[in-house]
Amino acid sequence: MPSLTSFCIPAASLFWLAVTVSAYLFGRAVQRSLRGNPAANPVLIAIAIVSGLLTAGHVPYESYFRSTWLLTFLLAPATVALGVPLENNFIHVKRSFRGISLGLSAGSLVSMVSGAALVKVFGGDRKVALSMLPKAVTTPIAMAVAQQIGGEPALTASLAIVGGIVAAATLRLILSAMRVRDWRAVGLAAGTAGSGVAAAHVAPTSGTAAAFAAVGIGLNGILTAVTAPIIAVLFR
Amino acid sequence: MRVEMDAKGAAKPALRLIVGVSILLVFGLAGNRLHARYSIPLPGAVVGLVLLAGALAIARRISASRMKWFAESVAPASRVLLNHLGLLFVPAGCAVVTEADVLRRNWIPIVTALVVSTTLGLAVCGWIMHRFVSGQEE
Repeated sequence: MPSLTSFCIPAASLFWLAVTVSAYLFGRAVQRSLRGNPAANPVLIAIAIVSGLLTAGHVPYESYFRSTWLLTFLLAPATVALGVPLENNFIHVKRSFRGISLGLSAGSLVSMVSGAALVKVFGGDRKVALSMLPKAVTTPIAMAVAQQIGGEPALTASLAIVGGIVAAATLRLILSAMRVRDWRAVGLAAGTAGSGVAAAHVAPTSGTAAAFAAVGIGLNGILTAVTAPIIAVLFR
Repeated sequence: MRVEMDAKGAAKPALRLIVGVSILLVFGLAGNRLHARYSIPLPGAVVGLVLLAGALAIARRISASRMKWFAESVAPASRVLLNHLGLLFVPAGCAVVTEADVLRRNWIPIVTALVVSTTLGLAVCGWIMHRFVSGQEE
């Protein structure tokens, strides 16, 4: 039986936990000062700072990961928590069932297949193609799927965030060029192709877009978890 | 489960948060068990997500007052976790330092595939949805 003192968190562990939280808070402050610019993503800023410190201090990644296990542990309940906004907006799924089911599955499929295929076409590694495959869905689900199909979860995490930034940055340009003006369509596309990052970008402008983005994030997460292992067979 | 109530009959916020996170953990655990036991192709946490959405929908259908504590404790906990979802994957994301040479070797396919597939997915999903819902009431 472990002694009671083993429940005390060692100082080094607290140090890296504090560094991670501070880097994230700093990233949020930077984004706020740039009036919410999606390119100044707080998670990317935090990853850059912490990675830089780990490299500079010659800290092995394993020991850093062990120090901050608490944050990673909370990823599972946070993923489960995505069920709440999905259920809250389920009325929209009922009302626009055909549009959502067709738009979502087509968008999801196109994004997965073209992502992995383009990596192959341009001569990328197999592991990179498999990490690219689930990148459109919300990061925690994307990482779990990447793990399952033989990709690299850490790479997928970065791709998911940068992909979300690309979606947020190009959203208005692309959708207005295609004359897509309905907020339901804008929201669903943002949630399906750019998950949380793109959703946060459209949410302040329209409550409808925010609701449909929540539906897109939740349903695409489930859909990708089901279909990615099947599509991954093509890229083995 | 009994939740301590204040004068207005609502559970205390801090307690609600703890109960809420515990419920999320239980659903996650149940998802993991089902995933392993019946080899469901979804990751355990995603099975938990589906179970939670289903349970909330059922709780909404049956007597609202009886199941109030359930929805009312899950909602604030999920809000807190989702508002700071980004923080939770910083440690996992930092593993890119171990992938530095993969990134160096593959940056052209990565950038091309990421930009093209994201914008394609966005355009296809938005266009189809727009065709179906335009002219339809919200």
